[in-house]
Amino acid sequence: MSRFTQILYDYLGYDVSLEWILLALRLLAVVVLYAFLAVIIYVIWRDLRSAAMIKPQSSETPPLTDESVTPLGRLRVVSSGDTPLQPGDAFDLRTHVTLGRAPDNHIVLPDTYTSAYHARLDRRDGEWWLTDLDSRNGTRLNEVPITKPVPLADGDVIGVGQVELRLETGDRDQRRKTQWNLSNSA
Amino acid sequence: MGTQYAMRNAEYGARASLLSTPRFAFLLLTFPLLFTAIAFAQLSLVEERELTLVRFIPAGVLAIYLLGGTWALSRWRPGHDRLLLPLTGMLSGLGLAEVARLAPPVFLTRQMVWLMLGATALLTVALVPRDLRWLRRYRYTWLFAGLALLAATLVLGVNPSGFGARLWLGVGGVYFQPSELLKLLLLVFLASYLEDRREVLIEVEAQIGRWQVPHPAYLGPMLLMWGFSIVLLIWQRDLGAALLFFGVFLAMLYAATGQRRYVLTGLVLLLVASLVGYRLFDHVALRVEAWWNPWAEASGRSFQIVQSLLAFASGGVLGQGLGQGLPTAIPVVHTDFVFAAIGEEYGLMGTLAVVACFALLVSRAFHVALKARRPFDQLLATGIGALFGLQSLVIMAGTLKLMPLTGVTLPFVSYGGSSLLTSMVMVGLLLHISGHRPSRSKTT
Repeated sequence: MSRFTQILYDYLGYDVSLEWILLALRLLAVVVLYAFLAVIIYVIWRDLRSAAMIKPQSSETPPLTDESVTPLGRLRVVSSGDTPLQPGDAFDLRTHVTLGRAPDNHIVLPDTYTSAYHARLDRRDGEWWLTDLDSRNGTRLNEVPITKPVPLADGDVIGVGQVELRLETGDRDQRRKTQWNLSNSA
Repeated sequence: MGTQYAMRNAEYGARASLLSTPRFAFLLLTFPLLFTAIAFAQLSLVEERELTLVRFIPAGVLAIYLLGGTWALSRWRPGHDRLLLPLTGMLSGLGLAEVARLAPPVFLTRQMVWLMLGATALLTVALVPRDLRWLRRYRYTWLFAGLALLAATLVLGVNPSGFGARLWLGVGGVYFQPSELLKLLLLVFLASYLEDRREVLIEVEAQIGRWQVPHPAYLGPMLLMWGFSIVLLIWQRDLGAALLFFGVFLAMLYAATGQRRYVLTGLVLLLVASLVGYRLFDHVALRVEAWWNPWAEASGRSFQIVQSLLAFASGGVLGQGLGQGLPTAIPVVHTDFVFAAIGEEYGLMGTLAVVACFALLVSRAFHVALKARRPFDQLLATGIGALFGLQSLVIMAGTLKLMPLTGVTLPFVSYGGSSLLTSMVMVGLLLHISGHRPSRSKTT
């Protein structure tokens, strides 16, 4: 009898052979291993499930203005780059639109030169504003790269990678307002 | 501005998750630590029939590394992937126990020193740099440093055991295996190069006959580099490393370009290279024959693989129990054949758990790659994941006679300082990438 089993004997009051202790440790090692794996797999599964349940759209900010029901214009494809889009396709615009290659954009553009989150359109004070989201190849407005958020007018052409999109607001109000502004300043 | 969106998405995924709480990270660490403690208790009871405190020093070292590392990472990189450290910790704990079981005591001391060095390197890589731009910028420096190392090994290489492939560089009794460092350097180089050339690799094509091929001006330098390193590796008889480099190269090329034809071409090239190698080099033919029919020379040239198979067989489902089998019958069991020792003493349950640990580690690496925002970070994480996956598969399949044996280490588990250090630096890179909060400044 080793000193270890002797101590156990003194402590427990009955004899436990080393073989039984080793068997218990062996089983315990397996239990610990698989408990570890089970916890990790459970956590990953939970993580994936919660990620799947949150729709990308629902994580967007609430509408900037409350005109979200009727479309406030269209983006019409002028040239489609290497995306499956066709020239002439159109996207309805509401109050807040992101463009990029990632699938959770409002307008997904799987173009080689487009960044995951490339550009954004916001409705601010009755106008559409175009913002570049630090994209790798930049965003163009009427062929000119933009460096800061710019307001758009009906008929402007937005360039994102190889894709070009024309803004069609068909918005008589806006034109009238612009004219009013012009006449006001004149 | 765009970074805000990516960040918000990431936070939404994590908010409901246990993965983002430091307390959970510490809770998870109890498993590897408990497992390691049990392993050393088993060894102590088997070999000394006592529980001696000295025996538990490696478990203590591991505990310092894991607890300290988790604390530091939670504090300074709160977004880091909290599964990486427990997973690699479990494998490292198993590795320490196996080194203690299979190798002379001095090996265990050395392995602990390397573990602490690796822990320092891991935390340095994960915490200190603000970003990895410097890694990307000096890509040709890394490439030439790697090739210089390889050339130096070719000329000055030694083998500490006195025979076999001369793959080590020695300075004052400390040996280092440059091909391990080379793996890391080439991963960084490839990630940087492919990020830069991704678009031209997809777009610019040349016509050869009826075939559309990538323009040689862009693919050429890379193929040349690869041919060069692979020739050197075959020259050095480090088959395992050559196979790994090529596999990781293909995986990263596919991740960068999404072009299946590159992978198919690469696999054909690999097949041709294998056939040529089989015809030309004796040591390749030897490996293949030992794999195809080991029983022809069971006590001769195929002794190792036969002993390995016997070890797996005698392990059964639950194994013999640590310290109670005879894995030391396999020559060099503590490096290349550590998986067979696990098979004998932990049985099928142990080997399956090891496979699961590696699978989870690889999946976490790819997860990190998916969440990363910069292409360089994505490619680097993909490469690291592919390397861990391939390396563990190659050696596990080799010891099981599922494919010809090539000598690579089982990451974190095998004895070997260079391998442990490099693997831990790679985990440090993954932790850095996953813990990185993108800054608002322009990234390119």
